[in-house]
Amino acid sequence: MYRYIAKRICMLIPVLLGITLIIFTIMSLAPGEPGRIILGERASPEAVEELNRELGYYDPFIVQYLNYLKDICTGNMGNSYKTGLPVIEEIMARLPVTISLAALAMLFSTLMSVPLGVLAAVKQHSIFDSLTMVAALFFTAMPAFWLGILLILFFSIYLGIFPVMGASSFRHFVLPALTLALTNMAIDLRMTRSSMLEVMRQDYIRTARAKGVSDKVVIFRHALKNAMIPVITSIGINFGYLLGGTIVTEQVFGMPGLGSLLINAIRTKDTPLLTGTVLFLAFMFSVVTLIVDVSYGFFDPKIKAQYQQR
Amino acid sequence: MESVRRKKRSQWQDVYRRFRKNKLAVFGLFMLLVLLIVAVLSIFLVDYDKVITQDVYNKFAPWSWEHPLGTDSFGRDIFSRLLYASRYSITIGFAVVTMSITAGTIIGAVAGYYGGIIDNVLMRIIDMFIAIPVHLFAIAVVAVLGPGIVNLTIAIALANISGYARLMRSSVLTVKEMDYIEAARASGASNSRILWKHILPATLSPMIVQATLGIGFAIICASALSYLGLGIMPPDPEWGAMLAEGQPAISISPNLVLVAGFAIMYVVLAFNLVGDGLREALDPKMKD
Repeated sequence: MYRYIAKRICMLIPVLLGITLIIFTIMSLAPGEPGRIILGERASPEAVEELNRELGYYDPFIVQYLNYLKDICTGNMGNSYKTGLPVIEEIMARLPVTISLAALAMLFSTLMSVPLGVLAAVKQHSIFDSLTMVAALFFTAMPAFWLGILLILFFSIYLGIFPVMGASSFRHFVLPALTLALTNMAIDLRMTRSSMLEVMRQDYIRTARAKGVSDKVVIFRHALKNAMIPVITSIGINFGYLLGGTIVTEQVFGMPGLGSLLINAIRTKDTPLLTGTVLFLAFMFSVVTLIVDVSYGFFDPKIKAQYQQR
Repeated sequence: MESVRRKKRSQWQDVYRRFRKNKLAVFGLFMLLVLLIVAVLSIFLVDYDKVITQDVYNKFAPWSWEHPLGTDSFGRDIFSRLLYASRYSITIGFAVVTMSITAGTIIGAVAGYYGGIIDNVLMRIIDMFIAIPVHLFAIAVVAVLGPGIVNLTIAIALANISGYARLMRSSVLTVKEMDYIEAARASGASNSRILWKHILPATLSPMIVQATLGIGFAIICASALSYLGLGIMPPDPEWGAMLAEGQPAISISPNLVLVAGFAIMYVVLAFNLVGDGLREALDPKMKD
C-alpha cells in the first residue's frame, strides 16, 4: 500500500513542474514591464530600467524560470507589484475563505447527490427518478453566477434570511456553497445512480434477495458499500471543480477569497500575484486529485490486492 | 425486398432512429433550431443602434411595446441586446469546439497511433495541461492576452485541447488493434492513410458526443469570463456581461438578470440534451 502511495506522490512531481512551466510561460507573455507597472506612468525611464534589471526582467527566459522555481521551493512567490507584500502572505490571508467555501459546497453536494442518486437508482424508471435526472440537467446548464444571483434575489432580498455579500459569518457561506453545490452536483448524482444500478444487477445482490434479506439491508449493507467506490472518486474530482468554481462564486457574493484575489490581480496587472494565485490553485487541484487517487487505493480492494501480493 | 433493404441500413440511419425515439433529445434539437432561427433573424432585424443607444432618462423601464423586456441601467433596450448577444455565444461555442477538437484530434491520434516515445512525450505534456482546471487556465490566458471575443475564444479553446486529445488517444488505441486495420496494413496502406482514412472515422462517435457537450460547456465558460469582466467588452452585449451589469440593481429591476441568465441556461441545456441524446444513440450500451 505504501508503495502505491509513494508511486503516486512521485508521479505528482513532474506534473507540478509542468504546471509551473506552463503558467510561468503564459505569464511571461504578459505585456508591460514590471518596473513601469510598479513605479507608475510618471516614473523616469532610467528608474524603470533599473528596477527591471533588479527584478531580472532582462534575464533569459530559462534563467527567470529557474530562479522562480528555486524561489517557490522555499515558499517565496515574489512580492505583489501593488502592495509590495509577499504573494504567499496575500494568498494565505485569502485561503480560509476559499477552502471553507469549497469544503462546505462539497458537503452540501454530497449530502444531496448521494441520497438522491441512491433513491433514483432504487426506484429506477419512477417519476422520482426522472424528476431527479431532469433537475440535474437543469442545474448543470445553469451558470453558477446566475443561480447565485437568483438565490440572493429570493433568500436575501425577498425573504431576507441570508446576507447578500461578504464572508464574515457562517451565514454568509450558506448561499455561495449552495450555489456551487447545486451547479456541480449532477456529476456525483449521475455517478451514484449509475454505479448503484450497476451493483444492483450483480449476482451477489440477487443471492442476498433470494435468501430473503429485506430491501433495506440489501441496499444499505450489500449494495451501497460497493457502489460508493466510484462515487468517492467522483466526489474527490468534483472537489477540484468546486475549487475552480469558487472563482466565479466569490465574485457573485463579494467574498474575499482566492478568486477575488485573482480577479484583482488581473485588473491591476499584478503579474507576481496573478502567477502565484493561479499556481496555488492549480497545485491545490493536483494535490486533491492525488488524495483522491490514494484514497481510491484504500477503498478499492482490487488496487489494494495488487500491491499487497508483492 | 423489405428484408434486403433493412440489411442495407447504414449505421447513421440506426443512430438517427435511436435519436428520434429519445424525446428529451428531440426537444433539445428543437430548442437549438429555435435558437439558430432567432440568432439568424437577429442579424437582419436587430439594429445595432438600438443595442447600444443609451437613454438615461428611461433607465430601468418596465416592459412596454417599445421595450418588450424593459430597459437596463443605461436605458438600453434589453430585448434587442438579448437577441443580439445570441450570435456571440453561438459563435464562441462552435469556434472553441472546432479549434480544440482539431488540435486535440491531431495530438491524440498521433500519440495513440505511433505510440512509443512520441506517445510518451505528447501525453506527459497533455497530463500537465489536464492538471490545470479549465476555468483557471482560460482566465490565465485571457489575463495575458487581454479581453475581447477573439482572445476569449482562443483561451477557452486552448484550455479544452487536452481533454479531446486524451479521449482521441484512448479511442485510437482500441481501434488500432482491430482486424480491419491489420488488413489495411497487409494490403500496403501507408501509416497516414491508415490513421486518417481507416482509424479516424471509427473514433468519430465519442468525439461527436464530447463536442456537442463541449459547446455547452464553452458557452458557460465564455459567459463566466465575460461576467468577470474578462470577455466581451462593453458596449457590445453578452449574456454574462449583461448579468454583471444587472446585478447591482437586482432589487429595483431584476428582469435583466433573469432573462440574461435564462438565455445562457437555455442554450447550454439545449446542447446538453442533444449531446446526451447523441451519446445514447451512438452507443446504446452506454445507457446505464
